[in-house]
Amino acid sequence: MKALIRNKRAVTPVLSSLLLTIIAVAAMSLAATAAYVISDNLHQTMGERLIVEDVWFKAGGIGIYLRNIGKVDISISNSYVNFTAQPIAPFTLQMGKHGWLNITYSWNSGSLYHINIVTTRGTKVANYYVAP
Amino acid sequence: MWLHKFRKNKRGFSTVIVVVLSLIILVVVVTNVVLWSYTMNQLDWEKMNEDVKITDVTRVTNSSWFTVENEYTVNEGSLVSGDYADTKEIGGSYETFVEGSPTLQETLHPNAGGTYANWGKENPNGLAHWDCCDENPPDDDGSYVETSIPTWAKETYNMKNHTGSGNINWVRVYLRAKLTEPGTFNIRTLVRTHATDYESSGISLSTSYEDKYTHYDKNPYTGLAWTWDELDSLQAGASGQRVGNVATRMTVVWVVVNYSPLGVYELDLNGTFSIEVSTYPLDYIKSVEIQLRYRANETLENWYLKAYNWASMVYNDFGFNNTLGHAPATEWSVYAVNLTDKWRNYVDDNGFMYVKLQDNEADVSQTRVDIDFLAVRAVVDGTKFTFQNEGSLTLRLVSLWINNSTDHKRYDISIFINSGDTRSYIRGDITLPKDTYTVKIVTERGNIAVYSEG
Repeated sequence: MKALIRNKRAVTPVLSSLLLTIIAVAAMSLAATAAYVISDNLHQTMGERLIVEDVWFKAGGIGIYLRNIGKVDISISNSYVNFTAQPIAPFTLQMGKHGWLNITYSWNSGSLYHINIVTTRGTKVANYYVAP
Repeated sequence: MWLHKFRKNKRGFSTVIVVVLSLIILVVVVTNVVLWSYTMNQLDWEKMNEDVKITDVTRVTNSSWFTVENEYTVNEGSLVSGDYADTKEIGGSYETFVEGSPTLQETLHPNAGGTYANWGKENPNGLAHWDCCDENPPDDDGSYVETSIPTWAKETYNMKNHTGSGNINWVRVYLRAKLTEPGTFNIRTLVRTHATDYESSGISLSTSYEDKYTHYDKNPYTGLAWTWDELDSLQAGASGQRVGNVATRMTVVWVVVNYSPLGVYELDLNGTFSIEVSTYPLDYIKSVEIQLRYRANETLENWYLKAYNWASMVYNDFGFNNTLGHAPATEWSVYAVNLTDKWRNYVDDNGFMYVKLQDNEADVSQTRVDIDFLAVRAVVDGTKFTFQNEGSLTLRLVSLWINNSTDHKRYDISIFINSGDTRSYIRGDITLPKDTYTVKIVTERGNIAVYSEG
């Protein structure tokens, strides 16, 4: 104790160790948070499953009946008809829910259409449909 | 050696923290991703293993038969053998009923004084006591007798003679009385037969007029069934007393006789039926049919099917396509009625129906009736679907689509089909399009089966 008191550099090693420890914990907290955010995003993207129950070519547009069969809620961000983006109203499906997504589109009878639905997380459901 | 170096290394502790926390983060992230990946892979694997088909789609014009839900209520007559389960299928076992004598009731009121008139007060003053207690309907405080004597005092009256005939089932002696103030038991019914008085136990009264009675299956003097002569000589009344300051007031005495006429037989029974409204919604039912398969050992009288009319709250056959009844045969025969467009009067909102079978009227021969089958069914314009699960997993169907060139109709369904099973599904609310159509079903896991027709 007497030696520690007499040692003029005794406080410096303690402080440096303490500071290094605090810096290490802070850095790892940041790393842990980043890992959580990245894995959670991955988690949700992997959990998305969406099917098209029905496609109805009706006057003035195309109705697409979607069902969320995945493990997370889904938001539709974009729709494409023949690889051209089509405007849609905000559309969200909770787990197990289903409903019509309506696209305003002028289609021709007998023509083939490639319809692609994209979620906000990037999941795509695409297929070809012939207009009646 | 390395431990010694580690101890001397001033940055050793922070290095350990960084390494350990890095390992923990790595393990948690990898575990999370791997487990979730496993879960989603399992979901996809299950979806791939589903194999469902629509094997048939046909139009149906009526529902299946809905049979009686519990034992028939026999209002007249009696059950001889069998039970209601025997009437659920055509052929095989059956349930037998036999006609019985109907029960009738006759009410006798006082028409003269009896042995006792000991209650001290009557209203109107001076009126004969029996005359104070013979009203029908009761006049309550309009005329009454009242006792303020602190000991039991008796009142009995002669009753008018009977008009009925047959076997007497039971007799009830009624009185209508009250207390002038709140109190305790201070009245008893009283009958006098064979010059002997029989009192009931104490009867509780309130300060409002109430009807009270004592029931006699047998004549208390003879221990045998009552006879009409005993009724003609019967005196009925009450025994009452004052308790404290509470007097007893009586306004009416009467006798009810329940009897079965001799040589008169009839049968009247009804059962509860339920149409499955989840499969056949009431909005889509066109009519209802009732079918009876039965035989009788005597063919001289007609038999009638009726149903409880929920609007008029009586059994009737108003609006039935046949209101003339049906002549039975000694061999099995079928009696069917259609409730036409009046069916809704006979089916409640939950699909319940009460159906009655009764004979035309009471007659002198005691008929035995065997019921092999009695059921109701809905007349619909619906569709029957047949689904087959050829996969290795139980599946659940969640959507049904009927599409044609002009319409795409979706119906919520919830049908579980075991692996390898075939399931028929009837919907009374789905009418198939007349032109080309496509039927689609969607499973909970996201598979779709399609059936095209036309």
